Amino acid sequence: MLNGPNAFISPNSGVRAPEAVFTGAGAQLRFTSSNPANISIQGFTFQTIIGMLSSSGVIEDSSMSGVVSNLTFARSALQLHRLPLRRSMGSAFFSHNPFAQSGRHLLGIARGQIEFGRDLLIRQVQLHQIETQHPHLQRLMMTFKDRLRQIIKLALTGLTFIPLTFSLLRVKPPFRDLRRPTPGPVRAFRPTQLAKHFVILGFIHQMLDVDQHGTTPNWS
Amino acid sequence: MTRAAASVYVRPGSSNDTTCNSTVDAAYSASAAPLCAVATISRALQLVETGGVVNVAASQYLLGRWTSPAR
Repeated sequence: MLNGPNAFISPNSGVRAPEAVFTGAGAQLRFTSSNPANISIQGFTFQTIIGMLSSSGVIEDSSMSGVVSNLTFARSALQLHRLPLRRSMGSAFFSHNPFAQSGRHLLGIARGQIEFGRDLLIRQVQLHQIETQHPHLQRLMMTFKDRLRQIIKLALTGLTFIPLTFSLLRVKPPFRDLRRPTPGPVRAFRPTQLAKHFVILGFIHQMLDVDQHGTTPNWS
Repeated sequence: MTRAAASVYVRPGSSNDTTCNSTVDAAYSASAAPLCAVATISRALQLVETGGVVNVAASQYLLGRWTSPAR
């Protein structure tokens, strides 16, 4: 157990005493023990430390900055450092780098479970699954191999809601970047450009116009 | 190496790793020695018993100047 001046100061209501600060650019503070779970560090301020413990351990009541790994924090004040985005102005930055638009427009990328914003219209009805023994005259009928079968008119098909089973990335550009041009976003993966190739989902829209006996009403 | 105590003290700048035994949270002086705090954490880790506590005073501790021994 390594106790600093604030080892027993409550992070919520206590006032921290002058700190014992661990510092050193790129330094490593490494503890090894036959029982790492017994390693406890409390009441310190850590600055610029990479790799704290050789395995799991607990740091309590400590103010920390820098990059720390393999730690369990308890009652600690964390100061997260912002990681600057890679900024390079080479040609590849605007052409084949998938993050080109993200860097150009400062887009915010959020991962979340996204569902369809609207329902999907069913465009195909599997006819072989629908049959009737007592067809109504006002229904559109067509012959099959062994009997008459009913065809549901496409306009009467319902809407179905299909939630996605996987997460998508949603990019929301800030307002100031709505009209900023992006040169050569051939493979950019987010909005603010027109699609280079129009991709249409493979829905099958097939209308059957059957007039079996010349008496079937026209529904179209 | 002799493990001094279950609780040892570190006071950088005002203590002595050679003379003090780290058992008392006091600055080094000729009259206080050896009952005074050591100056470095590495020395304290050498003196503390297994499962003991190292009490560190407020100061700046530059990493790389000391290492902790394997237990």
